[in-house]
Amino acid sequence: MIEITSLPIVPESIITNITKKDSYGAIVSFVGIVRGYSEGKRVHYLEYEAYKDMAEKKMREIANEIKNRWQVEDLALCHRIGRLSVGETALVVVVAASHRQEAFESCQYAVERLKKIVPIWKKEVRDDGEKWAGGEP
Amino acid sequence: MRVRVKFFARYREVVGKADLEIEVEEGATLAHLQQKIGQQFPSIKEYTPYTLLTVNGEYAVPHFSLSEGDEVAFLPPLSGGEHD
Repeated sequence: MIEITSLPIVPESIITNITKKDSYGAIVSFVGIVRGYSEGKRVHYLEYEAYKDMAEKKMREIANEIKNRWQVEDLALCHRIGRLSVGETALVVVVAASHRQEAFESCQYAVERLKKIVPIWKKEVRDDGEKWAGGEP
Repeated sequence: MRVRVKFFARYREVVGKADLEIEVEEGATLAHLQQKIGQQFPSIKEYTPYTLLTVNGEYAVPHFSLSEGDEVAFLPPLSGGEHD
């Protein structure tokens, strides 16, 4: 399951929806949530924005990379966009594999890859104003 | 020839629009287009070394030759690489 959505994400339902197979021995999930502080400043909310078509394509590429590299049979990548309050779920990655090591490794790989190649940006709205996350010139 | 240029995040805010139709010369490259847009929007120019360029939804290098009707996007730095 690959999805970019403006609706709230329910991590438990994504985990439950992974079809269980006899060969699975481990499911690892990552839930990214909106932190209430950034650089010592109080965050009021985040605005996420995506280049949606490309972002979903890149997420499918990541899923293929993982299936080629690890014995992972099923995975879910779900990212929310739009306005998110502190504590809300922004990202869920779920990986099902035969053994824990490949599940842990591939789940972390998915999160790191996602942040590097998937075109999604976040703006922090905080005490000292608005700030887009990402490099400063 | 004309290409469609999409802007995201801080670039969209600078341009004031999510996309523009821009006229470029035959044989123009992404770098030419980037230069043209940089002249019009100097604060995008500041970010040139950090900007990721895409053509039709795929990352592309500055010397990529544009074709009529291409969809180009200027992507500001992604939030990745931070410790979150």
